[in-house]
Amino acid sequence: MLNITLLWGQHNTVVTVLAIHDDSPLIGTTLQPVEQSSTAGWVTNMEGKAYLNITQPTLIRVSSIGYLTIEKLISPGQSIKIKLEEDVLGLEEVVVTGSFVPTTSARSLYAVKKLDASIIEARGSVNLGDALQTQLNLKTIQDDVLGTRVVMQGISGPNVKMLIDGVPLVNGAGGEFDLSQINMNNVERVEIVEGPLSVQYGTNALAGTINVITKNYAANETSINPNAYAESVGQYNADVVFAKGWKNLSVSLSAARNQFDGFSSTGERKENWIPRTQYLGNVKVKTSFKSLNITGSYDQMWQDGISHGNATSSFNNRTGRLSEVANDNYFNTRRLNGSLIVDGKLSDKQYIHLVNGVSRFKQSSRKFIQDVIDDVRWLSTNIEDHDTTSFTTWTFRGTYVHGNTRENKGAYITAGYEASINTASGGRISADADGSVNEYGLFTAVEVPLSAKVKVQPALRYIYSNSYDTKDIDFLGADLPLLPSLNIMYSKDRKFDIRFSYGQGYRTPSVRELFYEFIDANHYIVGNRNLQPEVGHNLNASATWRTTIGKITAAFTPSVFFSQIDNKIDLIQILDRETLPDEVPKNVPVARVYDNIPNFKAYGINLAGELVAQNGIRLSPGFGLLARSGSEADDKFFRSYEANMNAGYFLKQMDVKFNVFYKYNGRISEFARKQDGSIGVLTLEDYHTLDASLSKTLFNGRLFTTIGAKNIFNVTDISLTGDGSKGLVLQTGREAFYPISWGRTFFIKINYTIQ
Amino acid sequence: MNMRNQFLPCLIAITLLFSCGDDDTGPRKTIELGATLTAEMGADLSNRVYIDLSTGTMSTVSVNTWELAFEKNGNAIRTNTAKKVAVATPSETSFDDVTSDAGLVYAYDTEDGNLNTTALAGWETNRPYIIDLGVDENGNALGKKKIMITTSSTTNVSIQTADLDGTNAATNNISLDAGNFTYFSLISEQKVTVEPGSWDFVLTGTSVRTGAPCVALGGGAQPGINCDIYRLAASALINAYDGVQVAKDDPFHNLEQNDEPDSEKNQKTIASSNFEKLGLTDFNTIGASANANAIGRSWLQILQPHRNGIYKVYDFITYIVKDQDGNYYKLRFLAYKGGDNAENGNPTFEYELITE
Repeated sequence: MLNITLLWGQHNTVVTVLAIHDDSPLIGTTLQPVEQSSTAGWVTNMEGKAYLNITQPTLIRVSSIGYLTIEKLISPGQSIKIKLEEDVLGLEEVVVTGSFVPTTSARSLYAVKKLDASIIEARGSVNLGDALQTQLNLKTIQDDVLGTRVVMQGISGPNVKMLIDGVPLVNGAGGEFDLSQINMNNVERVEIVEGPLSVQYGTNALAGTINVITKNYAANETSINPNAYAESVGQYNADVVFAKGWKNLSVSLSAARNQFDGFSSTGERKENWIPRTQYLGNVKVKTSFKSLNITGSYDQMWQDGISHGNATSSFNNRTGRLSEVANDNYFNTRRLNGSLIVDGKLSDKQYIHLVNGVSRFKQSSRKFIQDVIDDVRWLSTNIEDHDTTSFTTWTFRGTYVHGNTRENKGAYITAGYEASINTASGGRISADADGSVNEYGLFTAVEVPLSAKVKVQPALRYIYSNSYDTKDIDFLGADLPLLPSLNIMYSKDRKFDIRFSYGQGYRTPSVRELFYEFIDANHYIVGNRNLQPEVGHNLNASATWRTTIGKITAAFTPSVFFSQIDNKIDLIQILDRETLPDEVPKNVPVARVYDNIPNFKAYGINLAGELVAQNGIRLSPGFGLLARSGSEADDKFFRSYEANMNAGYFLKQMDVKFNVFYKYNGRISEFARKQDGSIGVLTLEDYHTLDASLSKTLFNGRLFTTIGAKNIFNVTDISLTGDGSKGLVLQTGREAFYPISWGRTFFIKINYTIQ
Repeated sequence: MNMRNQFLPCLIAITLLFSCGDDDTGPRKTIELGATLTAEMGADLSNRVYIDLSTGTMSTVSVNTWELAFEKNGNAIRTNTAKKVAVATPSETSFDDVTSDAGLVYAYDTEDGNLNTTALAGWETNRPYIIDLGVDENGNALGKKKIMITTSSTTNVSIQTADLDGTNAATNNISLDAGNFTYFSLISEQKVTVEPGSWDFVLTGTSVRTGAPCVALGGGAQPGINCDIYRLAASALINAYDGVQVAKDDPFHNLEQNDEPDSEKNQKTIASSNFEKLGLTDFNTIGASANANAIGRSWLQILQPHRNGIYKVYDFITYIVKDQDGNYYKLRFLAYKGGDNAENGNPTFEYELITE
């Protein structure tokens, strides 16, 4: 976007830009005067040299991709060498989540965690669930029917906002997002912000936000990029991305097929990980109009899965023979995401970002009676065994920012709107559901630099909903439907910074939570029309200290958070079966209803480090403590610990990367009050996971292969102990263990690029 | 095998029409040599299925149609244990004084069908009783009634009924039918037809106590909460009243029966069955029983975890049944799952006439 004019002048001021670690010239480095409104600037040549035309000492900003930007006062006629430090910690990398204007990691008011494409590749991550697995403060939970769910800061799925390029995704079956439905084949990076971003993104962004940023293709580029992936558990994926760019238009098309054969840790026919096949298609068109980027994107996913049952002895009345018969549920899932995004600068001081998106989830389930000996199957004759339910969310969000975005100086004033239209339909939605649950918000934020080192950003969102009284949010105890947030950041020379944030988050009861009706022979799971919105308070403080010790660049980030949620919505067990309606069998195995839990509290302490040595070794150790409590726990805190270590080694001579990912997951307990008033606690035992991989580029970078081993400690099921009745890990009524993984596997991934 | 195939069309017809015999004109000349039949009680045990072995017919009737059955001579009264009907005896002797069942312990008919140990055994005229009407197919309680039999003869019974609060008071005069028992609904206050004319055994739910009996707990007893908790279990009750008898051959009768899937008895299969070998002499050698529950629940065992609803059918047990007409059949249960959706509550059994 930089518009650079080369100026020629009388005095030749020569600047040579070199990399600090090996004195190699940095080609294509831009040099720009800082305090000038002109668009003048220079670019270094093949020798890393630029010839500046300046008539007076000028503060010049020197920036090169992958290196830390510096500002230097240069006098006319001077001939100097500038050495740039490699940006090994990614401080200059662009982040978009949470901030109203795209900014850099170092400047963002939020501590944005990033998982970039190289890590996603090195982990052999097929879907978002795989990619998030060794992150601190995040847990992924597997359910045979509902898929992979996320738990962030000890708070589960519906409170985590899921976005693709800033567009909200509708949750799926079970009211939570199935992470395995987001494929990593076309992803540039994943950004994670912990704590509420409710002013920015509205409902659900209470525990945190996960924003998947898809790849962009440059103008004038044509490439075909086929990929193949195989994993020894029985996972075979293939995809191809075709991208073509013209002067003012780029188009990318991608298609993928993912096949997973299923896995059963017990050897039973009933699998903990159900077999499925996914087909994905994506079209993305990007163009620009003046200084605005216009991006249209359309994704479609088709997934077929079969949840097999265990076969038991039965008389088959179709064949008239005694046989082994099972109930198999066939799930057919469709996901559609479409968006039209306009963003860019209207002028040097005006930036707009308009997001319009739709996200639709539709799942049908059919129950078949399967004779596994004579291989005869037929559709169940019970109508309630079959269902098609869909959920749709439309989002319209616009943000206008006034401020000096070019120089990143001065105050920023932001104003925006958001409309969120949510509908649901189908067999498992109550016939009484009256249309849609819609929410409208107006928000504003002001970022003010108090000094060169300190900036603050107070922000507010006003909310109106058609389905509940937003005054329940009760801002300042004054019955106002307003949500506040406050961010304060102190930073000193990229060596030290502190971020503090207070945010109020909220979550509207979803259509599902209000109107769900899943009633069959084994289930009575229903919504509750009297739910109150969840309102949460979150305090987050983090500091980062960066230093260089000899040849090692290091960053240490301690952080703490405290969050409280009032009226947390949870699926609770119906203990008094006599309250069930007459048409429901009193001995139905699963009887649950959505209800508000007065309060839930969590705090956590995290310590993360990153050490990068010039010899190519990179270590990221981390440690976390999470404690959870609330009205259901008599204010007793349940603690759990975790630790991780990601290590990478880049062997430059051979162009080989080694990566190791380790995580320790400590015991984690879930608690709920029982009918007699005592507290039932269910504890998931601790376990370790370790993945390792090796990546190599071949044929001049055209072929990129990764081979690796996942889950080297061969973790499969982890036992649950205690007498609790519900939990993070317990939604559909599982036994005394929880399926964590499908055991040790080996994988190979091959990427081929045709330019 | 041929025999079984021959009766398959009949079986399908049974599934559709509940009864093969309906289409037949006149009495059968020959008796059934054997068949494989599925009794569709339903997963909620909401039907009872009466079986007549010599005609191979099944009659299906809804469970929730009656509470009391009066013996044809006017002596004994049975209650409907297939829906947990129970009887409490209040201390008050005046019908009008009975207003509450607080503190009373409910009694159920014993499983063996002994008419001397029914819930109303030793009933007296002009003495009030409280009847728990049991539950419907979804487990909803149907309420309670107080009753008093005011007159009784071999042909007639007069019964006074009311809700516990005295409302819905009525008096019904019930003429006893020619059948063994006359069935009466306290809800509709009418006689109901339940038993077919001829049957050998009935597949039905029956009330089974789980946990401690209330008497054992003394003062701490809370009926239905910590003691005397009754559940419904599938059972095969023989028509002892008409002389049906059963001898049971269980090759593993000395193995402990429990709900652990891995226990020895639960690992045994039909391969150990003596079905082919057993003959008429074995009926006498083994020794026959005339208790209603001579077959009972002995062929079925739920396995842990109970919520998964997986049952082991002891297909290695053979029952030698002397039917009401004096024919001898050997019979074994093959499956508990069956029917259109392969659900529990649809027991399948096969039987063969012993001809030697």
